[in-house]
Amino acid sequence: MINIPLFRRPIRWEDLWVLPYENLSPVTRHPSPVTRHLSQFLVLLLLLLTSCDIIQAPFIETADNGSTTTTNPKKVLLFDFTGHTCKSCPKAHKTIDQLVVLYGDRIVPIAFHLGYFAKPLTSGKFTTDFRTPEGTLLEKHFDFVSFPTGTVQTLNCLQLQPYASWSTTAVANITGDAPVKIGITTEYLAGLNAVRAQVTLRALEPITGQLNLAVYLAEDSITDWQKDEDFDPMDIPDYLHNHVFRTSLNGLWGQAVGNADGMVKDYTFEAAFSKILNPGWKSKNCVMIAFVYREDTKEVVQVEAKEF
Amino acid sequence: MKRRILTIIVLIGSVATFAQTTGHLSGNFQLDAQLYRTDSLIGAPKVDEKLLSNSYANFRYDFGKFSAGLRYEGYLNTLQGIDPKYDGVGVPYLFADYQTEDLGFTVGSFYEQFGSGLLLRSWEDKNLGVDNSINGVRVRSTPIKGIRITGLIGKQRQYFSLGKGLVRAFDGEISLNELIKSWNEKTTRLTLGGSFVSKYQKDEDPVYKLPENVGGWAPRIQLNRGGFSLSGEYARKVNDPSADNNFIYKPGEAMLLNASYSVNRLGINVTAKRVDNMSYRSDRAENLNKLLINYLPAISKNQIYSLMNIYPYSSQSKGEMGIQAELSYQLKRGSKIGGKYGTQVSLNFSAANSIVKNAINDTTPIGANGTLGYSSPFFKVGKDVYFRDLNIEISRKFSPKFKAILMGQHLKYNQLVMEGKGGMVKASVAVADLTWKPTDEQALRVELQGLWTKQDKGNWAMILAEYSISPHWFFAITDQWNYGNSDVGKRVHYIYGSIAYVRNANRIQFSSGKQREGILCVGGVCRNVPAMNGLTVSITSSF
Repeated sequence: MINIPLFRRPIRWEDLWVLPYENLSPVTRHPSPVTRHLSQFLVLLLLLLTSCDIIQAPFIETADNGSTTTTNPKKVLLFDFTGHTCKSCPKAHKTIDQLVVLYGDRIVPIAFHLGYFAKPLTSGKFTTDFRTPEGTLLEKHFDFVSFPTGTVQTLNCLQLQPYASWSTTAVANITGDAPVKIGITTEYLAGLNAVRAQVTLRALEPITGQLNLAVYLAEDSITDWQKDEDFDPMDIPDYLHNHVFRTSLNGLWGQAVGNADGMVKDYTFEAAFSKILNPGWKSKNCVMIAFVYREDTKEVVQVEAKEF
Repeated sequence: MKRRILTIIVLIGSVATFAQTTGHLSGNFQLDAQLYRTDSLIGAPKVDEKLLSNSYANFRYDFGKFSAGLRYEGYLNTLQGIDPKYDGVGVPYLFADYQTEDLGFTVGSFYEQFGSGLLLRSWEDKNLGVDNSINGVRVRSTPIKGIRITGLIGKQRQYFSLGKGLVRAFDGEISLNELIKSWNEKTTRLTLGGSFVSKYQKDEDPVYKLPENVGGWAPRIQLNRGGFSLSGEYARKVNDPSADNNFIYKPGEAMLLNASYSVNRLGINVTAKRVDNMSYRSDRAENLNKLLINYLPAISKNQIYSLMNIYPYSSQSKGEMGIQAELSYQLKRGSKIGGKYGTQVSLNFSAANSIVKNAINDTTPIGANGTLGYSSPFFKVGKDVYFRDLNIEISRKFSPKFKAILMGQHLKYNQLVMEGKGGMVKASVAVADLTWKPTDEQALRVELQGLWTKQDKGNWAMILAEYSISPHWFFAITDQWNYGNSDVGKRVHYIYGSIAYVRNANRIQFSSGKQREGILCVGGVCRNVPAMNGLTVSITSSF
């Protein structure tokens, strides 16, 4: 018996019984201490033992392919912070692949190679330098503790996420219409080995707050070394690197669009961007990505991607 | 404003007076502040704030069977090497507790461990940035002498909030010697125990079909007779696809066995461990030291000397098999080899390998996500060496004023598995720790250490000199020299000096100099410590 003066009466062991005490038979009401406590133990154990979900194969959900009935479906921008000597990073790449299978072009990934695991070695394997000045700026913006990591639909430095939660965040952001429609037309200028993009924005509804537009170039299908802890040996010579960030066309943080108060409905913006490609980049594998985000919260409002 | 300050002073005074007459107030305070200098040579990054600090204050009030307490934490901003998501201040630990012989309960935050922790251990270590305390309700009961029951439900701490998952746990332990009257006086002591833990996290993932309730159980035994002791625990959990295991659906398991024997001056201790897919967190997406429900101890020797800690072992939740054996012997006092004051000799060996993983069929790669992953024969040891450590320690007191500890170590360290970079490091380490006490108040301690390896950053040498004048003053200077670095430009002297003043239960310490990048491990849980060049101020106080 416990005596706690704050209570109206001392608590009895019967108070802790999991069944309505008054409904019990006289025998059950007055069991021996051993029986009583053993019963409580067994009831508790039974409750806990039922707290297991055993999943049967297949373990992966069936594809959605991103079909939607909305007119300007929201797309999700995913920043993957990675490195070619990061042995766990291919897990994040697989997560992106699975999301793309499920949601198609409504997932727009960009892989930034930065930090310790992106440093090129001086000879032998992993000599390619995928790092960029923009990636170096992002290193300052985000305080990276571990890789792989990333952000989903945000550039907010406080919202880094482990790769395993990207899917959940992506699906939470993918429903409904986006308030801004982004259009991209691309052109490859062979003589200059340059790309040109025409980006148009139109506000489908009024939006408050300052918005920014950023335009990036990424490259798919780059075959190079990558460490992958799921293989033995871990060093994969012909790993396919996708969504590799190459450069920004209007700066890492882009440029302001609309005005400080936001955009009125049907506000439009149009701008052209161009960039001479590095000789090592293959234009046919390049993707132009444009996205609009809120200046204050760094939340991404909409993103669009266009291949060449 | 004046009235508010006055009210707080009166309130504190009242509590102090009340505590003096009707209870006991205790606590402690700690402040660590670091002023950083950029040093590209050692890789010390630029810190925009220049000065960072972590501070903690615990207050605990005990009154009979009742106790309550809180902990203030301030990260302004978080010290380098600790997760910057801690930035800010708050009171993340707050509890009230009432205990009687029959029943006790805790509401608020608490730490708990079932058995050896294979299934549940919530704990904190500020140096590691680990705090997975549970916030909820805990009930403890001893319904019959010899039977102890603990049940709890809560959420784990994550920075200044709580994690997504819910933890439900139950533990029972029976001491047969206490329970059975005729066993009360027996020299053989037998304790049986078992725990069950279940976590709940909503499945919002579009890719995988995830179990929302993941349960695990762990029976254990403890047997003692005279100088002999045997303990063991086996833990198993159901399918728990997570970031740690690449979203495979294989059940996890872990086993820890320990046997020890001591007689006269001889002590023998053997520990064996097997872990297979046993990471257990209340948020399946998390990584590193965040939201861990269980604890997988490293069974290597916990080395205290700096160069012996350059390559520490950390537990591998994906799979490992390991063994540790230690033999210690006290050479007889007054004998020819034991010397006038006796000599202690300890020989320790630890080893850890991978486990064997076989494909579940011909078409599925081992460990492929969204599958059962692999099968693993329980008793087969994998071929990959993770760690080896063979070391000997000889401790001898030569006179009342002089004693020495000599240590030798040879190790293999799979850097790729532990840190995700490099390869196998083979290293030898030697240490001489000499202490001279010219008077009762003064002591001079000198450490000479050397590490030799052809891999990683090459050879190191270290000298440390500590001079203490008890009870108030402490001075130390250390130089770690990476003289064997293959990059001649990085053959750096890491010189670091400290001065500390102690009075009663208060201590203030100033340290300045360079600290090398390294890995700090406690019990197999590790964190990366970035290189640092600067000034550190530490203040600790307890009451």
